[in-house]
Amino acid sequence: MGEMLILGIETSCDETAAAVVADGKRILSNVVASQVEWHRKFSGVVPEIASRKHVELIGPVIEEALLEANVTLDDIDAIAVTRGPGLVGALLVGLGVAKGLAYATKLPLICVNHIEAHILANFLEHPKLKPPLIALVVSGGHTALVYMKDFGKYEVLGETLDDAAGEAFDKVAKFLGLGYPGGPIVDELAAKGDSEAINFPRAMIKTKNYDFSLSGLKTAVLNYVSQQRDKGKEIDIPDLCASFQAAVIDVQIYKTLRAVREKDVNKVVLAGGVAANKSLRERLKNEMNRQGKELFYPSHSLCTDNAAMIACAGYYRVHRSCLPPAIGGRQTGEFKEERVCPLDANAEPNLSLIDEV
Amino acid sequence: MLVLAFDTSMPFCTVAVGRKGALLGERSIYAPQGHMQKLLPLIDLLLSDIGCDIKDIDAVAVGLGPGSFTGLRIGVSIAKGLAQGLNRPIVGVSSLDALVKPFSSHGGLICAVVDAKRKEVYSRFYRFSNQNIQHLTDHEALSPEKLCDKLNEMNLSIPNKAEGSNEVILVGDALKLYISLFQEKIKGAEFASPDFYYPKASNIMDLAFDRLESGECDNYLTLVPIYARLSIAEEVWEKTIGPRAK
Ligand SMILES: [Zn+2]
Repeated sequence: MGEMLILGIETSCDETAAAVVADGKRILSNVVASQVEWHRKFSGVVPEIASRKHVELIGPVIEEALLEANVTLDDIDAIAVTRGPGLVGALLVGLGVAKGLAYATKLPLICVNHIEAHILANFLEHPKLKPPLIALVVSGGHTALVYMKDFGKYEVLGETLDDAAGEAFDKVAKFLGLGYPGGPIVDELAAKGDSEAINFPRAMIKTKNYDFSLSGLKTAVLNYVSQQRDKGKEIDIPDLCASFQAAVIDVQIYKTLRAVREKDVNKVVLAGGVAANKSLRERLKNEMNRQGKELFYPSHSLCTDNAAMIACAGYYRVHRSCLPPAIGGRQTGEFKEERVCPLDANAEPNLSLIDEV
Repeated sequence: MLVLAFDTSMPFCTVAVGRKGALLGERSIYAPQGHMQKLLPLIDLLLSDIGCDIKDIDAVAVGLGPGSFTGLRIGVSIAKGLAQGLNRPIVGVSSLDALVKPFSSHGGLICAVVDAKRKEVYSRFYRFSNQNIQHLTDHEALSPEKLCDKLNEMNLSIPNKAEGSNEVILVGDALKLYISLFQEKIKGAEFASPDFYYPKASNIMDLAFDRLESGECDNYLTLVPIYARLSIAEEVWEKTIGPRAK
């Protein structure tokens, strides 16, 4: 039985992406057109601009993904697309193209949860990885702590009550005039600074739940800067970045480790663009190793938004619902009906992970 | 040659299938906010009504707007997916062109006026000569008052009016909001009935055949909607920061 080839399509935020993945693990192509240049002057993602760019870029990106994989649509067994969560106008472009493609080619369309795909990016990178585990999903759009019991079985333990982690990095970087996107810039500057120089609040570290809040920390940074300026004191940017970053990461690490204890698992995976943060990776890795447990994270290109993870999530979504377990070939009969998106599927900007179980 | 045409630029989701000069079927439903959910089922229903399969389609025609940004992107995205999946040509047609197409025997000036929200209309001016569409202006977003001035100016400056057609015909859903203003301000204005307030897929189809016959088509890789407006963020940038940055 041949490998199952899935074309993945992702347009939930500001990356237009398409990929071809075999059997949910072998990446044949992974094309990402970043729109960061068009959003930079606004210091953040402008939804209307993102939607317009997706329409321009999606055709060439899909074409490129097929060319690079050296396949045509005739070789593809299914199409997977992000249905949510994300920016609604952006999601609609990818979903529209995917639905058009699937209807024209009569291929099954699999709708995928973007957060689940971020978590499953770890399974692309580490094929032997198995649940149960705790996943910390941190990116420009999301902060979530998830208990993954099994494939398709998730419990969202906590989420951000206000800003996503990446958003907070962007806002602080913008305020300090450091540039956009803020995450990698702050991470780099923080490496040269003293994380204990300024004592910023660790929001919600004491609460019993697993939720996060970053708007208070953001305000604390702004207040600190204006106080220093009022006093005529110079601000040490690396120290400020290091202290801010430590305040964000401390809470994330603390709550992740608490979830590991409570759920009694021995694996943690990082996912999302902020998972590329060096300090977060190193500190969490040390903590896990000390307890004889393991931390996994994907390489940089699979941390940030991409379509290989969407194709992978699509594969797991059909795979786990199919009997016998090995699938291949082109017959739609091998797909369980409820796993295939109907023609009237719509984008779900607030899609929650629970809905996918 | 069998063409599938649709338009989602306005609250109506409209779909047609046909051959040159022979419409096989057309379906339109009122579906504001519902284009993503309604368009493909509507296409599927129409195709099965007329006993065709999507694989029988030789070209895909889509209304490019201007109109609702979200509606446009849904239509254009689905059209791109269909064209790529079928490996068939795609033809983008101005939704305002489709709106005035039923008035092709009128000799005088025709003006498409569509509600653009924010107290503006999307508009374009036309004349037909021997049933062929002629564009006198490009698509633009402007206030209804400015439109009146522009239209009066244009109407005076057009020479050789066909007999008996001194009137300007206005077509489109902006008439719902501004018809009394237009009656008062525009000399010799005639107004299309509400049946013609929204573009019909059959008119998109007719215009697509005109282009296909002359060997023209678009590319699904590059086709984009006609927005006729910047995003609000860019408008603000242009007005405030842009001039200083230049
Ligand atoms: Zn993401």
